[in-house]
Amino acid sequence: MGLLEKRAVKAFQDGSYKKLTDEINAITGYTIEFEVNWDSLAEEGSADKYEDAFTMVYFTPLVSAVKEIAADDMGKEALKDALKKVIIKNEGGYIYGSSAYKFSNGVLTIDHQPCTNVDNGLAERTTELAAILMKNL
Amino acid sequence: MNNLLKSVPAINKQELLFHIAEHFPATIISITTDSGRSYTGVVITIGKVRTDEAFLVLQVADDRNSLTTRFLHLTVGKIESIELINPADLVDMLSLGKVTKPETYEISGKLAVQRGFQLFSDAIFNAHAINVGVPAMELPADGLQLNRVLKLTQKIQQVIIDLLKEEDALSSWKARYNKISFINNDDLDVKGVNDQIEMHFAFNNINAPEISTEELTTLLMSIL
Repeated sequence: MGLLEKRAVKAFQDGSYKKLTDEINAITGYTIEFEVNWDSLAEEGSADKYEDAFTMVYFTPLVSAVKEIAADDMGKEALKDALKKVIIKNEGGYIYGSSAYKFSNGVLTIDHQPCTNVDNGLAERTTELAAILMKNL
Repeated sequence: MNNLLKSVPAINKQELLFHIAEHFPATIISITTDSGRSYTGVVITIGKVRTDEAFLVLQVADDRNSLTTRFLHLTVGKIESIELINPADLVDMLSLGKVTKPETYEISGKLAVQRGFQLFSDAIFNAHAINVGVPAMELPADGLQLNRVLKLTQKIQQVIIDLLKEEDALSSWKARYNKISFINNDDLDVKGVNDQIEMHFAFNNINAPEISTEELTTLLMSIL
């Protein structure tokens, strides 16, 4: 990771990342543990895109999905019982929601390329993520 | 499929043809008469004449199973055998609709089922202003079984909505019951226990047949 990428990652960590994780925890009503493999997310030459891309690829679908599920007390309770941790990484080279999400033993793993299919894949990621969570709650 | 076919009752040619004409009119059949001639086509009508003899009108198909303008009229008694060609639902046809293919299930979570239970109660309340309760059930852990429970819940909901259209059924239910529970059991049964209706069925067995709406309606009526 070059200096430009390091600075962009740090800016995201200090700004949007905290806001987004706080928003998710506020919606769910409990604290979800987040583990992010920043090194794998820091795609070289794309530092200027991190802010929007990280948000839209990893967090916007998650915010939408938890909002939908936690719309009632039944959903909030189910979420609290089932979802303990979220792992975010870019290891498998996945660019579609259909292959980006795994859920096992209370851990949701999001494995998606950070700067590919950012806008076009948003709706698909949101649908896929809500579906995989619903199947496991 | 083979296990289901083993469970279909014996039926005669006339019953089969009536069922096909009513429920599967597009099914192509090949009949062989007692004189050894064979005809392929679709059943246009089947009926009984005054002598109680059933007759059949078949629109004849060509070698490629395309319908022609040739029609065959003959008495059912003359039919030696009937061949069903690519039937849409063989089990339903041979059982005259009494046995149906098992549903296919996807994975569901417990939350979807719990929401389905709440919807069950809300839908019946919205239809008839009666509180039947939210179904109580010990949910299975398996996603396919949960999906079966969800689909069965929707079917039971429709049966109850239809049943309660009758004023006497509605008033009897209102007077006696305000709770409902689903209990996993091999055989379909409905019991009234104090203010609760217990519905016993193979909720968790994804290989078991679907719930029979007629049988469920009859059992529910027996406790009202």
